[in-house]
Amino acid sequence: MHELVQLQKEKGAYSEIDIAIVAICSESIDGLEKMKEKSAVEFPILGESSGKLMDAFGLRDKSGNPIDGTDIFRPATIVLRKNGSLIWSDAVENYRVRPSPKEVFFHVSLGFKN
Amino acid sequence: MKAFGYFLLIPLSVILYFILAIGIGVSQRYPIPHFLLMAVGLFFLFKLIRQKFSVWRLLLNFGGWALALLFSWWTLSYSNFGGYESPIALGDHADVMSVEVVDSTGNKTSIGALTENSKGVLIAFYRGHW
Repeated sequence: MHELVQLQKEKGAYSEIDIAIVAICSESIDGLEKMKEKSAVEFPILGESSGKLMDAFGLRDKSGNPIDGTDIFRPATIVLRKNGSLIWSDAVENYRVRPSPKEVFFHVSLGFKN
Repeated sequence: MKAFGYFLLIPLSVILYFILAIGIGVSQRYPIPHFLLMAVGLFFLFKLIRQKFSVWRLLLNFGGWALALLFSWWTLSYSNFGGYESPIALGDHADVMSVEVVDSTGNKTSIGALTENSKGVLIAFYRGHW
């Protein structure tokens, strides 16, 4: 959640370069609502339970949910152009270790310059 | 009393990890200062029980080791995913803009629909709200 709060702080910088931010997990609507309340972020927090996004980006963490053992997303940051072409992707090797918001913004702005 | 003080170093290092590493990103990958603080606590707990045995000191030793091992397992093994190789190369097209997603109010939408007025989108995938 800390990562989402950090992204919220950088939201203005992303707006300036015309990049939208969304957060996605495999939570139920209840879980999404709780997340939205807890994090107080303004960007959309979305749920995707079909597994299409997990598989498209190779982010399936099999039985990773510590509560019910279902598959969940491996934490990652993916940046796409409007047409869906991949600009940058980073999946953490360890879920405790996240890239800094400045590092993410650097890669995003660089990707859209090129 | 002294033994309890040394024992407290162990949960204290876990708490400090949450504050420093998770909160502000210090020693996030390898929590060496936290392991060192735990080692100090465990060393003195062991020294005390060697000086004078008591059930209370034994329990604190066991508790300290249990907590230290749990912390080590979580930081060094459980939370690791291993390397990542994206199945989509940079510049390649990811066919995901029309995948159906649901927002926190239950409305169905897609990434494409939410970002139609932008040059692109940053998607933060995360584990869950717990």
